[in-house]
Amino acid sequence: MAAASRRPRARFLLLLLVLAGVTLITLSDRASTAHYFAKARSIAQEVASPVQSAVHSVLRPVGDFIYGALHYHAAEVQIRDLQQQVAALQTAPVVAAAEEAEAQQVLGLEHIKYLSDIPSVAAQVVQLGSANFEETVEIDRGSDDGVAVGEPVVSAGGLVGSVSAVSGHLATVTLLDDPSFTVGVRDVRSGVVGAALGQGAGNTLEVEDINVGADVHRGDYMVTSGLSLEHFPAGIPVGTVESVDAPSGALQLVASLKPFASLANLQFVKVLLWSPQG
Amino acid sequence: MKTAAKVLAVLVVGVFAQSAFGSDLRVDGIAPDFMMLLAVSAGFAGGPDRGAAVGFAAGLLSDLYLQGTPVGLTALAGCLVGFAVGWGRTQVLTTRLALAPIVAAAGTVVGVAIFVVIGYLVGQSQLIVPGKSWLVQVAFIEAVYSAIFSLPAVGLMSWALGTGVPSAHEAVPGAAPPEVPARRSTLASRSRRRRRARVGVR
Repeated sequence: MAAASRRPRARFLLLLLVLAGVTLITLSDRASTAHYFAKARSIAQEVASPVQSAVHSVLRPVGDFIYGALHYHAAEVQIRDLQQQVAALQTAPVVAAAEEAEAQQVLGLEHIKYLSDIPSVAAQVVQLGSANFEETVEIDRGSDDGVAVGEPVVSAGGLVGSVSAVSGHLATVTLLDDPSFTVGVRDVRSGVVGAALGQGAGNTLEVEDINVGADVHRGDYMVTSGLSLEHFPAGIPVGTVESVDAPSGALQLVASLKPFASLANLQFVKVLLWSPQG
Repeated sequence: MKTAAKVLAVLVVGVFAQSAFGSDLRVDGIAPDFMMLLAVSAGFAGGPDRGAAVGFAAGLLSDLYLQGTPVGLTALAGCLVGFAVGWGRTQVLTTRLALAPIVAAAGTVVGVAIFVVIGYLVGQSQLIVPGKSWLVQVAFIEAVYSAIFSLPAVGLMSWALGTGVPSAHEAVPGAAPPEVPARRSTLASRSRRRRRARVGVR
């Protein structure tokens, strides 16, 4: 009898909660109210950060053990590869510096001064995102350091992403391979422009809006286009074209772009204190 | 009030656990979802109404730490999956603790599916960009993690909700209560009765 009387109450509660959820989703998406939710997220991040750091420090040995156990084989392969690279190159730069040299070479072709005219803030990645449907990292610089939402984030290799949320001391960076990330790109060799879209963790970006017959080839370098309405200054290295496909009957090419920046091993980045307005 | 405080404490611990070492537990780039597990555990331990309420709260807390999806999406998914598991508990399942890993795994798969479907319906098309095989991978790995952590999660939720940890011999819903065999009158019980009658104990 008690169970029967609880059923209508459970359904009523479910209906109420579903309505509350739909209301929150709607308000969260509306331009007029979205900033309240952004503020709530910022406060939550700020409140949780000291505790997260403390818990992470205490549990780091456990986390490292589990990470090591799960990725032991991959770590072994990586160590072997790196040892081979070091042995072969002798005085050659390590991976990050090699990416920077490649990027500088790209820019040298265009006589672009990479980052030299744009003020920036150096930051360290303190936390990787733990959600499965977005690719983010947390850095140890926030609004107190001049960081603002929308600012580009780069590493030695090139574009890494952009700031998507900021609190006083921390900021969340949405990475290049996040499915919601879009950046206008330009082929350094031919000048063809397109839009690069993230395709998920570890996947190459997909470059769209390139007309069939455009001069884009495998191996081409792409940089940010910096066209009007873009959220990135021109000339930041983005990646290398890995493949170009022209589906039969399609009016546009689809190119895949491998990012220069090593997104899986980010440690130190720079936030460009730049906004589209200047 | 005390129950609400305990549930909130468990959810806060879950959020901190998720952000502190959820990323360290990634397999093939996929992390566990402790908040979804807590929503499923609340349904399993507390029934549909508590499952829905706790699932909503767990999802809402989770939403505060996400950037790419609107606030309320995970709350809605958590609420629905908590209710579904709780409803299943009262209608179909037993609450034997041994079933917790299976229920946790199945509930998590359902939760991921609900999240992606509702997300897509409200315009979050980026959720399906990585492709079907990746979504299946996410659901599978999250389900495995939920199964692994199900027992402590159900134990914590049972404590927080005050429902008690499910036993190994919980009755199947709808079944007749087990027959209690009549007690045989023994020499000891007869002498106890006589002593009580002499003393006048009622």
